[in-house]
Amino acid sequence: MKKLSIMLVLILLLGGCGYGKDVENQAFVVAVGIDKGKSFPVKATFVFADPNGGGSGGGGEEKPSTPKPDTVTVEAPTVFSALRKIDSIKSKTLNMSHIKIVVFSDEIAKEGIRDYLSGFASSRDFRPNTYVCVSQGDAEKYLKKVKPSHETFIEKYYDNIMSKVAHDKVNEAYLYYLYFNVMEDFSGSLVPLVGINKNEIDKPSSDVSDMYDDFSYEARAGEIVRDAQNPTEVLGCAVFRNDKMIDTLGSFKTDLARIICNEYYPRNYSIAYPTKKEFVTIRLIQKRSPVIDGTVKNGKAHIKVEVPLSIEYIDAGKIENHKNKSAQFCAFLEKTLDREAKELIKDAQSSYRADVLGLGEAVKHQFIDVSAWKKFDWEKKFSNAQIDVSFNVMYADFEEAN
Amino acid sequence: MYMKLKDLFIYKYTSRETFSIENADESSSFQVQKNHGGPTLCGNFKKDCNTLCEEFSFGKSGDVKKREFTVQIGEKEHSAVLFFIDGLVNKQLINDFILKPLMLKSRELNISSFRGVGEILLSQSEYKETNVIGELCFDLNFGSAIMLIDGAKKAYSLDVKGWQHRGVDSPQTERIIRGPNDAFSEQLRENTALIRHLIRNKSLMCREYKIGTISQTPVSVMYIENVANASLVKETMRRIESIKVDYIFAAAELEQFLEDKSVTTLPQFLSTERPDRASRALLDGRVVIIVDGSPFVLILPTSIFELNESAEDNYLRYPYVNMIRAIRWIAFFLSLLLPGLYVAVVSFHTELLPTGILMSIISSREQVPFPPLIEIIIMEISLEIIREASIRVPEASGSTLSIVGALILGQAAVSAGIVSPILIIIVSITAIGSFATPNYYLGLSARILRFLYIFLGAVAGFLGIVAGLFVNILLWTDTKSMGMPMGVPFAPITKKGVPTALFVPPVWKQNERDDYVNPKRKERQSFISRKWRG
Amino acid sequence: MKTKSGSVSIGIICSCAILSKYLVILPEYMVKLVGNAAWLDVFAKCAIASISLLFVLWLYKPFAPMCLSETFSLACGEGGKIFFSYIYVISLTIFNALLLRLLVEALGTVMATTAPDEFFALFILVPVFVAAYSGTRATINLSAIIFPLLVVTIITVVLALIPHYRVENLFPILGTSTKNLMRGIFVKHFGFPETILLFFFAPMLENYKNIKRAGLLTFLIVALISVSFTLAYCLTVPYPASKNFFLPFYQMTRMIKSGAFLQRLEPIVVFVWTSFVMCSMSILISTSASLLSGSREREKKSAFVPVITIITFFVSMLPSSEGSAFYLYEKLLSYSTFLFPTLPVIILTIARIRRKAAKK
Repeated sequence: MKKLSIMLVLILLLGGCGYGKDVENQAFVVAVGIDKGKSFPVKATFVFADPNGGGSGGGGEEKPSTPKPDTVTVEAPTVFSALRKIDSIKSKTLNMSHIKIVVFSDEIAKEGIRDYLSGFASSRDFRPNTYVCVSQGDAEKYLKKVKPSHETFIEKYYDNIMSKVAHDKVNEAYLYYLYFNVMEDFSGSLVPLVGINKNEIDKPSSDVSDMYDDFSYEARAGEIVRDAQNPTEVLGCAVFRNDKMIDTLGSFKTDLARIICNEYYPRNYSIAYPTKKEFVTIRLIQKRSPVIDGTVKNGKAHIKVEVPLSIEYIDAGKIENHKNKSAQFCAFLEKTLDREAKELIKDAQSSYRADVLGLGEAVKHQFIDVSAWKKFDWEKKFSNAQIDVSFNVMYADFEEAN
Repeated sequence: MYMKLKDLFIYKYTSRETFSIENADESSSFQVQKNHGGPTLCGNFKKDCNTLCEEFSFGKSGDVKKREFTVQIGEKEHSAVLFFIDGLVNKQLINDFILKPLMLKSRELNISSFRGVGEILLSQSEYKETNVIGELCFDLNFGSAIMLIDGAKKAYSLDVKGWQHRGVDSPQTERIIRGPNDAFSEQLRENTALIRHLIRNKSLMCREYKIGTISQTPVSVMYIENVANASLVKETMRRIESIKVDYIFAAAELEQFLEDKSVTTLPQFLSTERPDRASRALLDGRVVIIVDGSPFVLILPTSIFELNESAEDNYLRYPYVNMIRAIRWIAFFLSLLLPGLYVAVVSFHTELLPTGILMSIISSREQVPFPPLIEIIIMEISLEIIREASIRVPEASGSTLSIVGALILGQAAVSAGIVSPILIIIVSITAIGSFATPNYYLGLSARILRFLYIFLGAVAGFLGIVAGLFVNILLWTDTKSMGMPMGVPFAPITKKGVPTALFVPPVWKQNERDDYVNPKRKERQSFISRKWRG
Repeated sequence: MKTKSGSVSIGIICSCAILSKYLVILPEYMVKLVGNAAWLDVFAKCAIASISLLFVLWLYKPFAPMCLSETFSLACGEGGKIFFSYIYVISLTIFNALLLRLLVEALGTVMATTAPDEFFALFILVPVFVAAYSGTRATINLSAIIFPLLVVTIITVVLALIPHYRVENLFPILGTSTKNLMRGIFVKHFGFPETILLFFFAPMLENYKNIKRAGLLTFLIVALISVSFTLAYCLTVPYPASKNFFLPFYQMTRMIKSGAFLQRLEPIVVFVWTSFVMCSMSILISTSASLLSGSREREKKSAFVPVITIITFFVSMLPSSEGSAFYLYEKLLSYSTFLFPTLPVIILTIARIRRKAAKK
């Protein structure tokens, strides 16, 4: 019997060779861009990693060369049929397991991306942690323009830059989180926005003259006034209602959404205070998570959000004796934040009609099961729900304690 | 019924042959076994002389020497003859303590009867009178001088051993940093003495056997009577007694005669050249077998987990021991699985690797014409050749070999594009890993099985490796060492064994002996072993 | 003190047999009906099953430590013994075969190769055959070594997923609807037919106390792993999306991303799935063989092991697709309460009555 089992194992060994695919015979896609095509519905762009750059070649004596990622664009009915067409272009077998980023053009995003997402999610090839973003303008152009200045390999660039903006709720940058969100009947999502800087395309724009502090200047990707080697940017986010893109949020609104959703990390802001021409630089810190309290009374949802924040002065600017006058400044900040938050929520309730901040979760607790929650119909109730956001800004100073 | 520890010793052949331990309390005096019965001397000096000449092959073998002389007993001169083997005996002893007393003192002291020869003249500590020719033959070959005196009823066998041998040296294969540094040598008696020197107790037993109908190799079975499990001792003796073979020279040979399962890569006994380790095993209730002519002794039973322990583990403080043991297991599994895992990953599981590593693997493999399987087999086989050659090679040219191995094979193969640089790293980690395994046989088994895992990984990726591991662990845990399952204390689970196997406590807390050996005496030290702490 | 370890080993092998199917497919099956209250569902099922186990144990008490097949003959004579043994052998073989098929399909997805199903199936069956042939005790020893590793792996996955947990996913707490939850708990049983192994191994455990201890340990392990695993699944994947999620364990390990290094762990599912299924299949095959031969000795049952293995292989290839295999498995699971506890309860009751009558 032992001999028999050894024979069986040997037969398996002989029969099984050839099912594996050797790693050097595969081409690894690192980025996918999806645009609207001219002759076909979809124009898909695939960026292939170039393993031969960065030194350590087979011989070991070659000089390091910069890798040249190979980009292929095809038009096809769907992304998957585009993949099939790529098969006839590329000699190596395609492998999608190392995709870092999927870029939808805003045109496609406005039409709805549910089909793409569920296709990606149910295919084994796309990983859950793939980043998803929306490009201002053509995705193909964006992918071709990206020129990382620090990283040798382009996949590392995508990993680094997207991990900075990716979070759970705001900037639903992970493929699966966006997919989960889109699968829900009524949901809103905020997806990171990427773009090519306009300075490269047009002349510097001049319409930013009267709103140039960090709280009022709502820049989106591609709008930063700058001069840099890499013409592309990641800034702001696209607002999705279910699977359709509706609008974009600027940089500060995105931060605000993060603050409310408890996904904020400390940043510096320069604020025009007390006049339009003078600046105070503060570090805005969120040490405690906001308290979100949802109740349902007479079929109407009341949501109360209390956001504690604290500030540190980086540059007190023209506030003389700022330690004493900080109460006044904090009140100013609270007022500004309140105004901005109200605007954001008003937009969400009336113009986007999407629960982009995920406030429904606070109300969901009140219901015992999904059928009761469906009956309540959050999609309709959200528009006239009463949502109060209040900020409590404190100046954390050691001397005050003495 | 199932996992009762006393049932761990399940002997297959108990019904076939029974063995009684009648003289279990006899201590270490060298017993000559009764099976040397047979033809005896007839009593006629001339005839007996001729018989012995024939039996001892005097004249045919040049090293058998004969010395004729006369002894005066009473008034009469008796002719006598002395046989010995040149080289085995100490001639000084023969001159001073046999010939001088018999030839000179016998005349001075006026010995009246033959009793006086043994009682007054011969001052050997080991001295025997016998008529059995077989016994005389054995003694002669074991360094005794055989003396016949005309008129005496029996022949004399006098112990004058004195051959050249290696003294107590430091261990060659089990080097440690802290702890005693003496090792067993090829001398059976010296080896038993080394152990007895460490265990100064009357219950240390040393049963003697001779294995090999031609070679008559002395073998000692040592155990501590009121610690070792009686059925273990009995079974060991039963197996040793039943061995029928012409010759045997080393413990490694005897091991193969005693083991339960031969079709496995797992060694079923622990062999050591350190007296301290052997003594420790004895005190834990195990049995030690010493074979004359072999500096390694066998410890049995043992388990898989003990194979990866080193003698040093007992001398280090417990945090270091735990760390080092973990490192050893990691090294063992690396040496077993790493090449297989590499092949599996590059042919099946590319998504496992971070993109950066993947890219460097691809770029290193780009110019290699072989698939990973062939590539790694080329490299592993050449490594095995280098390793085998480095044992055989004379010491002087050893460095040449390592230069050839390292530079030519490593560097040139990479530049020639035959193997990829990543693979060189994998193969060298594997090789180093197998050196970190303390047990030589366990390291060898990793070397053999590695090839199987490479094939399995190439054929079915992780599935193949899991299937291989499944069968491997199954066969290993199904193996028994002298009736004790090798998988203890995890398979089967024993209550006290699991915690100590996972985490070695400090010495003062190791209160109990390993429960899976099922010793007669369970406690090693009192529950509060450090009384000074109050 | 000594037999305690025996009950631990038996507990481990029984929980291995129960959990193998759970880890491969079941959370998906639970979630489809009850949504994100699946963990409550699983918990309630474990509780109900352990209560029924206690009841069966109480019925079994006078016969301890008799093998269950002996009580068959006590209840219904030699013919009954053969009949019921065949029922168990056939049903366990079918469960085995379907599980093998589902695992094979899952492995095909995970490993993404062009290898046919038969290739994977044979690759799993060869070790299973070797293990079953080496005997029950060898398999039990083996699982005692492998199981802790598997548990550590599962715990690692559950812990590594912590950054992905969203407590909101658990709400509304009762899942899709209260009615569905009740239906899920009481009607759609996830079935513990493998618990019956405990009674077949009873002679190894010597006395009633050890059998009870092994049974309780089995359910403790099963409940801990299945509930924590389902809870982790519910916490990571929100309800409507979790409905169309395939292979939960695989997807969960894919989602792990803790830093640049602790990600891309999905090939460990191959390790966890196959070793669980191989352990459980080999113990079921060797138990079936010993039921057929009426003996636990290797020599006597050795003829049955290859036969059962080959039958398992062919049965596993019968369903035309993964979908039909899954459908069949679901259907069979909902009837699995017949194997345990219904049938043992009936038999043990009859045996008790007959025993009483015989005493009078």
